[in-house]
Amino acid sequence: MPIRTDPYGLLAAAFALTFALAALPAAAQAPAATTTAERPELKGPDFTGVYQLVPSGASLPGGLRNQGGPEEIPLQPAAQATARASSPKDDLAKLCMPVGPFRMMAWDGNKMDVYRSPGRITMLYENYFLGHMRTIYLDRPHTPGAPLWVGDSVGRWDGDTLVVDTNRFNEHTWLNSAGAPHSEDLRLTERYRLVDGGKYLEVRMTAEDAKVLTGPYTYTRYYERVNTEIQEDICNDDLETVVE
Amino acid sequence: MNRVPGTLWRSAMGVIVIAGLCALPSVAQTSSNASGKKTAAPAGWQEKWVGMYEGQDREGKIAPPGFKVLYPPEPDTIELVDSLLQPWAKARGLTTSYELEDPGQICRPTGPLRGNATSEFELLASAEKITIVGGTGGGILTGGIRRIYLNRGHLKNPPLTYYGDSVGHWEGDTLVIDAVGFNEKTWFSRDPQRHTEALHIRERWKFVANDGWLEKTITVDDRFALTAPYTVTRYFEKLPDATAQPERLCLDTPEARRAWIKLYKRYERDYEEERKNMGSNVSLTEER
Repeated sequence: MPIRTDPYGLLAAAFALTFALAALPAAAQAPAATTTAERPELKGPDFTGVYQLVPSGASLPGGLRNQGGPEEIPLQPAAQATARASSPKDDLAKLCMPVGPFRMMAWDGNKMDVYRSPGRITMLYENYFLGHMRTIYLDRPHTPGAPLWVGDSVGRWDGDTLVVDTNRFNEHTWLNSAGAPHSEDLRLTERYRLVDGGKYLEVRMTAEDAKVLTGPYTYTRYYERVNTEIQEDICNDDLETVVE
Repeated sequence: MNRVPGTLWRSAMGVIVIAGLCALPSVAQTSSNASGKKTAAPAGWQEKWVGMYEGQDREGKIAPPGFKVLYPPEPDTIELVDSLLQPWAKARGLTTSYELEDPGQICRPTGPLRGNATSEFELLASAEKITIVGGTGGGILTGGIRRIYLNRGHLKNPPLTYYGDSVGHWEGDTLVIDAVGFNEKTWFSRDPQRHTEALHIRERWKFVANDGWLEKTITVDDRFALTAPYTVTRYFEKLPDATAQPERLCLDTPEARRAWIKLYKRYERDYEEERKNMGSNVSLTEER
């Protein structure tokens, strides 16, 4: 019989403690809030649903189309050199690790479901090994802490548009498949709105990183609201396809 | 050693899966109707149910005031399952490798009977589904994402997955869940207690203790692996709305992930070698 070690059992205990501590200030803040302050997710349109990325090149009603993309991001010379020196086998997508929101929101075939809960909007990706999950906390400032794979996302409504501001990224992810690096200063601004009577979700994604980019860069993607279910997609189910 | 049950199981699979999948939804239908009546979703259920929950696997085996923990969390579940496992399933467990097959250690989902049944999680909801996210220290990679569909019956031919095909309906304030269509990669518990694709999980979730706690009564059956079904009850404390969802990742640096993949592939080669030396002509890759 093999001897078992259970790192996740121990981790779970550690996280339970972190969890309990994280809950304390929240409990202290909760009272005395008005209804709108408690439920900022209700201030804008309901984005709840399943979405699939519209293929690049597709033309939508009103001449809407995907524009730009991670591959076109303008890098400073040093970053260009870093990207050139990278190898495709170093792409963390090949290890089934998160690729970061900047790449994920433009990932071919990306499918996600969106939920709203008190004070937050959540995005789950079908390929959740690459996309992980996003929790967007509404009407709340950024919180300090260790760098994260998907960053710390806060959102607010600008009329019918959800504006999401994300910082606190780790430096593991690339900005595109060609190895474009970023620093911990990376900041993403996403503007989400429903278009064409709610059939499509538009996202305008802007990346800023003064250490790496020549300036802010924005791409646009459209997601179709679809009537299908998200499937269970386990990226590392077959390790033969995962590079060593 | 595990060729006999494995092969028997596989050769019988075509017939069993088809028969089982035809039979299960009707069985589930009958049993849920017998225990209660389907009702419309309770008003405001989404607002009440969504949020973060604290697991019962915390030190001290917490339960809400006045509620008894019927079966405390593992290791007692392990003993319970052990008393019900059919001999071949026990033998299958003995030939199971933690390094190669424990989903919790290889960054794969542990299924609804492990993390989801003990650790903290988040519930998300829309009109047509309730989604349970996470449930172990490995985050969503091991805790998984399980979607419970509220407005449909079981799929006629569901893909066999880690979390199965889960459907739910309301009986008053209780959410009644029926899940079938599982693959064989997850375990009954943290021990290698193996189930088959006939795993059938029925759950009743309801709020207790002034709506501060979610009670899950989980009934597990697998007519090919267990001699009888078993039922456990678990409690989860609802946390304040503002509680953050922590980012957790199994093997969370590229270095750790690469080192592990290397190690895994080495284990796989060693295991294969060991089996050859034992005179077995069964290849692990064929088995899997």
